[in-house]
Amino acid sequence: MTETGQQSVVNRFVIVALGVPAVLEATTVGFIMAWRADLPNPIAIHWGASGSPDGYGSLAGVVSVALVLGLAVPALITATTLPLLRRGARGPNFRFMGSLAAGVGVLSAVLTLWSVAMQRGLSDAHDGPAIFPALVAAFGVAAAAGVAAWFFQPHQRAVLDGLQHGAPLELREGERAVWMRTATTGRPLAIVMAAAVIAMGGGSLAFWQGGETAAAWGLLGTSAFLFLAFSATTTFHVRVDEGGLSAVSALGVPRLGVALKDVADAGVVNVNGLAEFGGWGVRQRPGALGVILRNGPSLQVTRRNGKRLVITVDDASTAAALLTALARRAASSPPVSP
Amino acid sequence: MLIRLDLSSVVPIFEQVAASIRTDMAAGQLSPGDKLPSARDVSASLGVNLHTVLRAYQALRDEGLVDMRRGRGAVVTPAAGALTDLIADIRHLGAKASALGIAPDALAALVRDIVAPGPA
Repeated sequence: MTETGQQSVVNRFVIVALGVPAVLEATTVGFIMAWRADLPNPIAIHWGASGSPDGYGSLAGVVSVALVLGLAVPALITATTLPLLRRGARGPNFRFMGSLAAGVGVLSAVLTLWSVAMQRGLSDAHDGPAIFPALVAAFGVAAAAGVAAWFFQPHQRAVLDGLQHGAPLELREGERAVWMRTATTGRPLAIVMAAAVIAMGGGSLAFWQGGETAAAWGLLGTSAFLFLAFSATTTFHVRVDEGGLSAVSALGVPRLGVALKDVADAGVVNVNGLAEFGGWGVRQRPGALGVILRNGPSLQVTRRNGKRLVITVDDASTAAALLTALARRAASSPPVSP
Repeated sequence: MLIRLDLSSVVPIFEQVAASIRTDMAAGQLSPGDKLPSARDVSASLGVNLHTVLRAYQALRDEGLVDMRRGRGAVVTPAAGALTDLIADIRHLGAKASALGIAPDALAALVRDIVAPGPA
């Protein structure tokens, strides 16, 4: 890629991830301020499952929620992704983060503007219309904006931060080897996940005592689902042997891996979960699948079709050295047919 | 944890498995409290008998390097952590022996004889 091409990746990322949300939020706040006199006070800020308003608040509250969702979230995405792009890292995952930030900005702006605009001229917010059209429109426009932002940014070939290749392990002829390691979630993240499950369980209990059985069941179901999802994605047994690479959740599923004959490259990369995979857990990104349980040095295996599998496991250099050695040996001595 | 096996070696397979794990402990790749992979998984990956791997684990238990409890699997003991204190000296000794043209096996025999004199 040329120098100007390199520069346009960074510039266009900033335009979609930060520029678009900033302009939209400023416009939103401007319109809301201009409409101030025609709006009910308090204004509807929350709508129930039936679509009619059930929560009310001040205009300042509406503006601050819009700013947090529409500006702080894109700013967070930019703050974690931009330093990596500046250091020369490239890839479809970064392009996706730019699109995501633009989409979130558009979602917030459309939803806020529409939900406020439809209350103009009302004297009492209780009489306000349903939120559904605004929701459908906001998600639709946000998705379209995300796609537009994707194509506005240039194509990026994957260039990874700190990709390193050590020497392959020296295997004697006929030598067998296995590398195994358990990858676990960092303690801070584990605490946050446990707290989320406990808080939802507690919330469910509170709804139960308040007589809101349906809400209690809903919340209980959600917390059970979260508990399962967290348990399935917090601990992985990672293995490199004659079969290739495999990573199996402590729960048994999900199972991920790369067969030995499909291994094109193995190395160690420095992973930033939020910037490159949009968070932690088992993450799918264009061109990459990640088992992201922490930040830092991780095993990266590239398949013959160019797709990458990234696993945040310790001692990744040994795993990469063994996998490279096994793959080379398998390639140089194909099984002889009888 | 990296286990390497040479089936053509005269060293019994269970000893090779135990030696690989011991080396991982000395190098700090396995720390006290870590759980060893199940013997079944190791035997499947290496294509060796389950009992061979279990025998290796038992050898490590007899040395006090792992603790085996029913239902808990094999857990690395604090004694294994002490091995990391030796690694720098061992590497130093190995480099010196190699410079003098002494083969690793000869060095190992020398160490064994000098530390515990008597017929091998």
